[in-house]
Amino acid sequence: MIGLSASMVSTVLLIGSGLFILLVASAGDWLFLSSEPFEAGFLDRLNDVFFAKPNVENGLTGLFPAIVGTLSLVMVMTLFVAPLGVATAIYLSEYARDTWYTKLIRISITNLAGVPAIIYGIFGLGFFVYGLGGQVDALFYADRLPSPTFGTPGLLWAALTLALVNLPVVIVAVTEGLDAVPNDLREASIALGATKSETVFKAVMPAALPSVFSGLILATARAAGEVSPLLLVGAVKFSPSLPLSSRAPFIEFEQKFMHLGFQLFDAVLFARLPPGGLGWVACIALILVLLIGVLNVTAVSLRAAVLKRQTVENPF
Amino acid sequence: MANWRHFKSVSLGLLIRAASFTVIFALLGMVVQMMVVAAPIFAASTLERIDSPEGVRGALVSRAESQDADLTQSTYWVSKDGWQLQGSPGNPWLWVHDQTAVPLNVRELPSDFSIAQMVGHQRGLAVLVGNTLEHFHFSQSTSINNVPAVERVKTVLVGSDIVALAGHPRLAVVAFATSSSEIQVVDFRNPNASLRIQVDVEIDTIVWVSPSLIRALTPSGDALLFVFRATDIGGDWRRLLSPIEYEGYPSEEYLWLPLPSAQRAEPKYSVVPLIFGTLKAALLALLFSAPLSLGCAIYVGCFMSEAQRQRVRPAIDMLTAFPTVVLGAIGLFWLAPRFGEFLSALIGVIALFPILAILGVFVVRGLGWRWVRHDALDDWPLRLLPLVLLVIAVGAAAGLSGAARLPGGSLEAYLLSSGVSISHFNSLLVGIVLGLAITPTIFSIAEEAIHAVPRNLAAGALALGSTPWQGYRDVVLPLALPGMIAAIMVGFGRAAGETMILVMLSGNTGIMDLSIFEGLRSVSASLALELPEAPKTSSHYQVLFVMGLLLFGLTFIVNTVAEIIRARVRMRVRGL
Amino acid sequence: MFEPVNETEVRPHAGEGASMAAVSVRHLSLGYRDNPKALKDISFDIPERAVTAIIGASGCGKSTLLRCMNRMNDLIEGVQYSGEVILDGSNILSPGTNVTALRRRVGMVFQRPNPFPKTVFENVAYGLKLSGVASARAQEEQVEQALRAAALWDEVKDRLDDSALKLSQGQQQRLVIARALALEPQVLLLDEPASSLDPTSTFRIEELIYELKQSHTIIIVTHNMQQAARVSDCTAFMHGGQLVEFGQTETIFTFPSKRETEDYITGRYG
Ligand SMILES: Nc1ncnc2c1ncn2[C@@H]1O[C@H](COP(=O)(O)OP(=O)(O)O)[C@@H](O)[C@H]1O
Ligand SMILES: [Mg+2]
Repeated sequence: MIGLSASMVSTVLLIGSGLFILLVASAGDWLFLSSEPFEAGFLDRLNDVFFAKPNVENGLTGLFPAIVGTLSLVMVMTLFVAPLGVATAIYLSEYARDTWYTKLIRISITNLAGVPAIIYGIFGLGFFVYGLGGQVDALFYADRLPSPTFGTPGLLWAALTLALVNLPVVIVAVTEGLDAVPNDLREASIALGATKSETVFKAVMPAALPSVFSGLILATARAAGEVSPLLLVGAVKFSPSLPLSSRAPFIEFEQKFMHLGFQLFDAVLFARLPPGGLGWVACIALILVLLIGVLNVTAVSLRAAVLKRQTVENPF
Repeated sequence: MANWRHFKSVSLGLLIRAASFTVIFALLGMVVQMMVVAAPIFAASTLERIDSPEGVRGALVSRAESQDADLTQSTYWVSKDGWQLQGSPGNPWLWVHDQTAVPLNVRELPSDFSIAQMVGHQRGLAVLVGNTLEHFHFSQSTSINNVPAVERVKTVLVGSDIVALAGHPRLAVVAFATSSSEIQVVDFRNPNASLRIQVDVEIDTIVWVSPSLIRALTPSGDALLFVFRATDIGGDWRRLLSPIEYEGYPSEEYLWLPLPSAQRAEPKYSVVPLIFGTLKAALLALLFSAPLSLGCAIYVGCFMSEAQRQRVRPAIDMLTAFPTVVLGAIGLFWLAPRFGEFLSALIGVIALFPILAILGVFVVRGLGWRWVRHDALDDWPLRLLPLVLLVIAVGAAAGLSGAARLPGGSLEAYLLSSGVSISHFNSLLVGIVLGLAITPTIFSIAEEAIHAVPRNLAAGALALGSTPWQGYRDVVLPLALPGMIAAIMVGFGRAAGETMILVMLSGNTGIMDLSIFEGLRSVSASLALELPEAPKTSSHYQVLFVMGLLLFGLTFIVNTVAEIIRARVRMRVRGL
Repeated sequence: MFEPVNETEVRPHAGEGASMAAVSVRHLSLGYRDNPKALKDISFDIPERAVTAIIGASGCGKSTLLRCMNRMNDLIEGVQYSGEVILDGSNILSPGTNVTALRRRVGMVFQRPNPFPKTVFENVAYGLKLSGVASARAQEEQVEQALRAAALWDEVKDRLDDSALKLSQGQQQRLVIARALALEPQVLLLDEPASSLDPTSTFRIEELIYELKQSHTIIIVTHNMQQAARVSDCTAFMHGGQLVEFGQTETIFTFPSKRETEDYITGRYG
């Protein structure tokens, strides 16, 4: 039995690396070896794949806008999630008294972390896009109606929706980190005459900082790969311009944007993969996997640094 | 100075409270908002008299057009979508196909009717016989040779003093006027809730101007307008869940056809096929994922040292670096095209796996490698890696060559010859890929539960001469079992809500078929695919929100129960 | 620094009942991954049917030494050891040893009582089942015998089907001893068995040890000088992974031959 369960571990590790190798091989094969559909040399081809104009018909070129779109989405989301999530976690574990309703809220938030993203997506569509967006349009962009400005899926609403998806995740992670800080620290700080906020921000938070960051990074990683809400609140197959601008705040919040995951999903809708399409799909998938993988590794090593500080339990 | 510090503290506290209340309010308000959107679908139908048709949606159709269904006047009438209705008052009615004019089905209709009107999407007939209203409709697909049948669906008792009657252009609904100047609307789908309005003038004609507007005429030619508001399920929530006999269908069925191909047909909103699809996919996923993830959890939780565990856990977690859209794409582009071969290989691997894995342990130990000391199990997964690779290769080869020897030369051909066809988008593939997606989740929670059991219990068993497996099996795993069940529940919730894999791999066909080789349509996929297209205030939109709430409720309840179990396990373990 | 003790030097004067060596430790050294010199060349003979106490400051390697006698150290990743521990004429540290069988012959009781979360009966019967005692009659008999031997029978005979976790700490510790005794081990290892117990329970355990030495070889690690003096026949004093002195308890406590032993016993350090 031990052998069997040990083999399961090996199997899972093998599956993981196998999938990765599959992607790398397909992408590499296409980029380096095959001649479809471009004739050009490797560098030109790389240039085509990343920086040429996106091909509306069937992909194969111009990944850059999708990468930019993905990154700006994740950044805007983090902008919302980080302060709100951390503040809520601090409230729940440092400020709120331990009553039945704080317990209820804590449990609810833990469970919301397990609610599927598509649910947040439909909320995002109903509330942000049609509700808030409609209001904003009616108030500020009435001249452009009936064609909607904010009352249609766009970067801001997608970011807000993803923020909602990830808020529970961040709150749970940070709350756990804060709970793990020993009470002695708080008592010592208060005994030295520190105020509540000084205790929280100067004594407790520094100790919990690694878990705060690893929670945030994990949320970011999750957001980068989460596509289902985007089907409802934002991403498009092809957007004529990047969601960036040269004027402050440098991001066009109302714009639709391209997204790596959505590009991948979109490839499904091609009736038939064009020549070289498999390599194209592998390229997108690989970039996405690498992006998320890097974020995950960062979070994991942060967490490992925390765990190293804890002593190992002796079984005897 | 002290004041300033105090002020700072208080204001920071306020800021934090404000932020967190916003978040808590937003998260909890989310549910409320969804309920508010969804609620109108359950509203009962209403009938209301208005003065002018302003604000009532729907184009007005001319009186002449809607009148042509008046059967009392004619002996011959052609319906609009290609079916003929022949006969005259007092004679049997005959339905024929208009292109060939061959009578396909003859049905004796009540000969003593007083009024008959087309109702619904040109496939139904409402007939007033005495004081009962009878509803007939076509069903196309049951009978042999595709001979359509005419069936009586429902009989509703109404008054005998009906002077005018009109069938709803889309739904199985009729409006009629009585000699006592009452306007009534009867919904055949929900006949007990008839709507009525008393007016003070005599009415002799009644017409549906649009699906929501009724015009009643007095003998002098004055028009009265009535608004009929009904959701597509007629205010009856049971229609979402119970089988319905729809117009044009032979028997009661669960159908999800919110956008029927024929423009004016009644949309069909049974959520049952979608729930069925969701459960089917999730259970199949568990079938694949549970052994794999629990096996991993048992090994890592029981037999690995802390140091090694800290390395392997994140390694398995790295599977989450494959977002589900990537898994879906891999399934779609790499597995689905060669599904038969993939399946043959998989069967081979699964069949050989336990045998070879157990044999392999003896090989590893039998080689007398000194470092595999009896209890030091840390490195087994790595040491077994080549072996597992070998098992996979041999198993896959065996599966493939086995399949090649089947009559027909491949698994697909063989299955086809025995009457099972594998559809390109099939539930099995969905289950496999979905299982992969939820493996890290189940693993992580189950492993935590196992690891939380103090190791000195296992040490106690080992000191009594148990083997490591016996020790953990007898002492640790029973304690961790509820936690492992909770892990499976959370995994189930994940699988039920997963969207991308289902959208991409399930084929999105809303059929209810237990076969693992057929496709399916899940709630989540329906939400993702249909919501962007559904008009904001339509019944479709609202029904989708209802389904969102159902999915939300399902995952929330599953997670809550799992969380409660986990909390209890934690309490229990802490007391040891 | 301490000189490693000479084997011949520390062989104890055989007592009346303790004429033969139950366990002989020869040049035993052990290293953990992050403490490569946890035990340094230890050699001594443990007399049969007597109580041998191992004393020494915290972290000096007492538990490590004890765990060598039933190979529980194998559970710890990265352990390296050399030397011999001879039981019944064979070296139990050799790779070919059947460790599960070994652990049935050498019972062990841990510092913190660790009854299984099962009933009292099942706890004691667990080892029996493992070693193939299947018949319910035989199990019942042997469980009763073991519980009697552990002086627990009278207290739990009506609660055999209660969860073992409901017993008091002292009772739990005796239950764990009974669990080990049910397998009729030759040697019983006790690692600070009373350190988490109250004085009354401690007293009962000590009484029990006194009873058990009639039939078992007992090795007890203890922190408590008085306890060592009260219950043991021989005492080994360890320091920094070395065996400093080993001899009859009376001798060690009254005329310690090494300065370090004297310092420790009189409480000057440790
Ligand atoms: N599992 C382990 N891993 C690494 N080092 C250990 C482990 N257990 C004990 N040690 C080290 O070995 C030395 C002896 O420990 P131990 O035998 O438990 O001492 P004692 O029981 O005398 O207090 C200590 O320095 C301790 O840090
Ligand atoms: Mg110790």
